[in-house]
Amino acid sequence: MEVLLAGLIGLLYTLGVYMLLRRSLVKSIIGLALLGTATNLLIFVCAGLVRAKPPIIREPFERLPLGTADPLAQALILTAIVISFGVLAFAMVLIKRTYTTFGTDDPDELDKGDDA
Amino acid sequence: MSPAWPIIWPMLVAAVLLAIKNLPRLRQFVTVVGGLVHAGLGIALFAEVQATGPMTLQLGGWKAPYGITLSADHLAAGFVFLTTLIGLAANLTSHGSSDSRRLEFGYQPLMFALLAGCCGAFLTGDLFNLYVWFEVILMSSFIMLALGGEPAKIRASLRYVILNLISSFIFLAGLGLLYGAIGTLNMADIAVQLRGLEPNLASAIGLMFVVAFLIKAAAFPFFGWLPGSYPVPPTAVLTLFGGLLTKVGVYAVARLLWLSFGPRFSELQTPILVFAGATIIIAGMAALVQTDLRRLLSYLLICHIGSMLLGLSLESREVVGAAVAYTWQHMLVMASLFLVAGMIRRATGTYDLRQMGGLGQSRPLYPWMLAIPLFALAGLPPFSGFWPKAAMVRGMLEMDSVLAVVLLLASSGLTLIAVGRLWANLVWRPAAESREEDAELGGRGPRSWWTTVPVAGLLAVLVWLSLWPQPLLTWSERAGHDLTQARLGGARQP
Repeated sequence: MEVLLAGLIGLLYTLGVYMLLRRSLVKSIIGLALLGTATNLLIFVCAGLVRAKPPIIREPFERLPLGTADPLAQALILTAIVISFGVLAFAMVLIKRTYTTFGTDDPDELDKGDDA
Repeated sequence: MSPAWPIIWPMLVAAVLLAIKNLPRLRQFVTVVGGLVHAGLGIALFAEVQATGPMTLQLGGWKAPYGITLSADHLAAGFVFLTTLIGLAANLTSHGSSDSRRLEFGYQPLMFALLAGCCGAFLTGDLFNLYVWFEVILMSSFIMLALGGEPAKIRASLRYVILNLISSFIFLAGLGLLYGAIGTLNMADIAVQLRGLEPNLASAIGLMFVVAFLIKAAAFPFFGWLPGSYPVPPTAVLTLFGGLLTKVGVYAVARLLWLSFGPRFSELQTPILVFAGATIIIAGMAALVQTDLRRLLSYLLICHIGSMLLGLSLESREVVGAAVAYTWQHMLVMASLFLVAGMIRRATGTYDLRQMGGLGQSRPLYPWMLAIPLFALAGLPPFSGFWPKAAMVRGMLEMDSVLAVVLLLASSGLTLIAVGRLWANLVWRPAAESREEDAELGGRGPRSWWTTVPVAGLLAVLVWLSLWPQPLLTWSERAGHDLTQARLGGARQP
């Protein structure tokens, strides 16, 4: 199962990098989203794939019983998803603004007016 | 005095500023007071750490290594102190420019969010928490860069956003792999658990982190985003960026190398040293051909990031301590240079070096103001850049690493040429025929106090450091000791 997921993560990274290298800012955003997804899946797989119960301590126990999933990994992934959601939302608005300002979403066209 | 205050206070101020969005005078008051209190908190933390030693705080009461630790050792406290100081300077400067549109869109709360992120990044002892603070910094800087919506800003923002997001994803991937491999993300605990991990895997994960942090620190070969985006934002924003953001990356590399991945030190040290050396040479040479003042300063900044990385990665307590001193005074130098660049723009109407001239005649004080940080940048005695560099060279010679000495002196040499070129264009070249003075902002009216006070303050600190560098060297020696303690041992210093 890990092999399958590892292959999937590799595929997502490949697609993400491919889209980042395309000549369009919209495709760059798609690429970043794919990279984000791949990274979140990576954390998920690395923390271990187990058939386990949710990490909730029920009465009258005082500690997590054996056989529960790792709560820290879930917290990491959730944080990562939320953060990348926020930055991608900003990036999308930026792309939209780029299009309304410059009339193009081709990065090479954008660089024409700059001497950096 | 808890280490959490320098992080909590700016977040509170940002929240209040968002609430009073429609009351400009009150907002200005809250911003200035908030900045002053933040600087006070930074000083208080620094003074307490110097007096009683490093402090830690377990967030939420969870015991280490399960919870998140905030650790204010000498290194972190020094960086936090400088962050609050530079934040105050940028804060005061921002009131001098009447860009109401930017203020309307929330520049002031963003500035405090950025400062909270920087302080958090310096104080945290947990690697994932570092990622969160990096994202806070990133998000605030994205918006601050793009505020205003002019074409140049959009372009700059795109370069900045995409490359820094890639760096975030690499960082996150490394975090996932590390957690899967050793089950902990506490910086100190990682060093302990790493010994049980297969060496090549540990080195590979460490290198992923190094790459992510080097992108943030704008080292070769990842520095392309900095000259493409730094010349664009207004002075106050650029002061924050130039003085703080890249240094967070350098700090992260240092912590990674010395603390978390100490067991894999030599494997990580080699690429960092190579990249640092390449950064010095390439960015230094690039600085020699620049015609835009801010781009020139950006390339010089990158060149010195290389020097800092070089000094912080060598395995000698003396060199690391001196490199910390160099980094600290460099933060102040860079902040004051960007502030003075803004003042020059107001005086001459342009950032183009070929069109500035005769500054010595029209504004006799400016060359003096420029000279102090410029010569400190080049490392000339008796300015503040000289002492840490001399200490670094001495330490490197004791280590018999001649190549490092050559690289360090090369960075000084290249900076000196660039600075000399800048000086010639600015002061010695006669004034251009037609030159618009920015009448609104260039006068000597009361509004210019907002810009002169922070510059004067920073320059006064630099002059003090130049003439009396011993405190800086003592503090940085303690900071270097704290940084290298995990690997080189030795008793904890008070």
